[in-house]
Amino acid sequence: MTHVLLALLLSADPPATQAVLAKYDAAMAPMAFKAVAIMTAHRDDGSTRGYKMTILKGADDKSRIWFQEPAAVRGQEMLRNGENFWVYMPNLKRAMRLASRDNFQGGDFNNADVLRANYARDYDGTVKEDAAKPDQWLLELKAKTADSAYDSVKLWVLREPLGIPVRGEYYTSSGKMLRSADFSDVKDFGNGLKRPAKTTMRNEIATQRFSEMQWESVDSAAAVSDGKFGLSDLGH
Amino acid sequence: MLLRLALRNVFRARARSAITVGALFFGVMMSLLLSAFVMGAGESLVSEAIESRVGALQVHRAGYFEKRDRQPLVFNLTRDAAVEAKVLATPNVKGLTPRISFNGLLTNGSRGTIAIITAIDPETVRDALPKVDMYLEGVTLKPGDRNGAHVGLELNRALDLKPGVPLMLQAQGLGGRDNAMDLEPRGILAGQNPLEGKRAVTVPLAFAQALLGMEGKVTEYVVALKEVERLDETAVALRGVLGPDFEVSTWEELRPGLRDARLFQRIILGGISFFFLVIALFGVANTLLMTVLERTREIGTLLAVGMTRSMVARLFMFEALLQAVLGAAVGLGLAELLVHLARSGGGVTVSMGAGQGYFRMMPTLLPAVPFIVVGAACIGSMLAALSPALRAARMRPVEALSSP
Repeated sequence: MTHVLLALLLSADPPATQAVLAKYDAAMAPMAFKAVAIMTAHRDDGSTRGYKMTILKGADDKSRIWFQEPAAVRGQEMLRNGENFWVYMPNLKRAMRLASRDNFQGGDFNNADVLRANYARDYDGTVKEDAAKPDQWLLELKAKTADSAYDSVKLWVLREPLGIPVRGEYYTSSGKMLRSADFSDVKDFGNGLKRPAKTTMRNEIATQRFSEMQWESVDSAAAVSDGKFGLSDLGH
Repeated sequence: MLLRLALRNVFRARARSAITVGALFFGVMMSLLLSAFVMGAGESLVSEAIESRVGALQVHRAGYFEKRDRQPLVFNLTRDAAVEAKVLATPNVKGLTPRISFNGLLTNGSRGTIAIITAIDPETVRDALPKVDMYLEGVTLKPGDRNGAHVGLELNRALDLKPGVPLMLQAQGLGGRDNAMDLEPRGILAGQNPLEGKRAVTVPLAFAQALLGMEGKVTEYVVALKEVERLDETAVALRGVLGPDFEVSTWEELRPGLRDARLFQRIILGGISFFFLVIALFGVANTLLMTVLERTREIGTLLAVGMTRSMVARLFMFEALLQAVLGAAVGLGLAELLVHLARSGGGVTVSMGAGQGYFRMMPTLLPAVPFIVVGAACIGSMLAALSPALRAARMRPVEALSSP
């Protein structure tokens, strides 16, 4: 039976790139959601640092993060509104601008990886078969705009359910692999949302560094009000 | 006559004169050496900064300093032969070189650390920074070298860089997107201060332009001057020539800590030199007072044979002056010799701590300093001699002659 299914999958024509990317975006960054996640950054010296956060995402590239742990960053917030990123420092009671590509809390994700995921808009390319991974499609993507975080991306996604990522490789314009991501622990978060609960992002030019993002809950039916994405709401 | 008599007295009481001359010699020599070494340290720091890293002046695009923390590469300059010609035509400008300054992650493939990178143009860098390779242990970056790197000593150790170990630099380009490219170590920057040794990396300009997507662009021009003393005047002239689209900064504005440290050093130096001279002058006053007490009968005889009180006072003052001149001359001579030997040997190398590089200091005796120190020693000696001289002049001949 498995062999028959595999044969059927292998015989399928590759789907359209934008259709796969739309599925990817729907799984990894639904239109609006509220989530709780823990990021653990592993440094070169073997030390680790964990951050627990609540993430709220609204439509139109709006998102906000509240940090709960560790104590050093409790009360800190990050806000993305369009192409603008801010970090709110509770001890200063003010928000400061961030670059979208700054490292997220010093880890190996960049801010865009966490706060902005719209691959259908940012990338285009081809969908191929990968002989070594018959249950997956390989997407070879190239940035459509200069604003995207990476020059090119190789993305392996499941054929079924379509668009669920398994691995990502992120390349610079010089052709060097900058980061790689392994997506694992596919989990049903409810409301029809099925996606990997764990992402391990490795820095490929400093391989002793890597960061893990564990998604504890993702509520894609949460009520997300637009007022939460105003600069004046930070700290409240 | 008085001068000859004073000279005879100085050489007659050899032991006592030797003590006085020795005290002055020590005071003058120590003051001069201290001045040469402290001033040398300050001037070496400044000249090293001007000639190897900062330059006398830097030209940036207007707004660079206000926004550089957030967008260091956005406020860039397009290399323009006309602008470069204008700068070079400004009076007192000796040379210029374009540069890009930026931050990035330097890695050896497995570990990485934040580095402060300076991208230099190997063809022109020595026109503005003649000592750019002052502390380099290795091969200079030559025109055409597209991926060579000089890495700070501590940074080199931290990444365990040796043949076969890959070296990569990751940085955000002009558009904000990360890029990474391979480098090849060409040498170690051993003479930086500890902080710079942990962070500094030098790469060719062409490498940085490719990495950052800044072909034909730079972040600054470094400008060398014929006479650094005319710094402010030249900065004003350059601002006038370049107009409001550019910012011209002096090394004092770019490195205010260095300027303040030099000023502080000079104040401390003045205080310590004064202290050494005062110690020497106390010695002079003491020995002269003893001389007066020991030569009471001689003073009585001089007064009895018709020497006026004023002449007696002046005799003692002359003796003090002669001893001061002698001590100061020997002290000055020896100090000049030691400074000359140190300078001809390439300066004095000061270690910056265990394995943290070194600093080369060139002792510097400014032309006015010997005049000030020797003058202060002579005037001070005469002032120190004033009280013993007046005491001698006030003696009554009969009492002086009958003293034991």
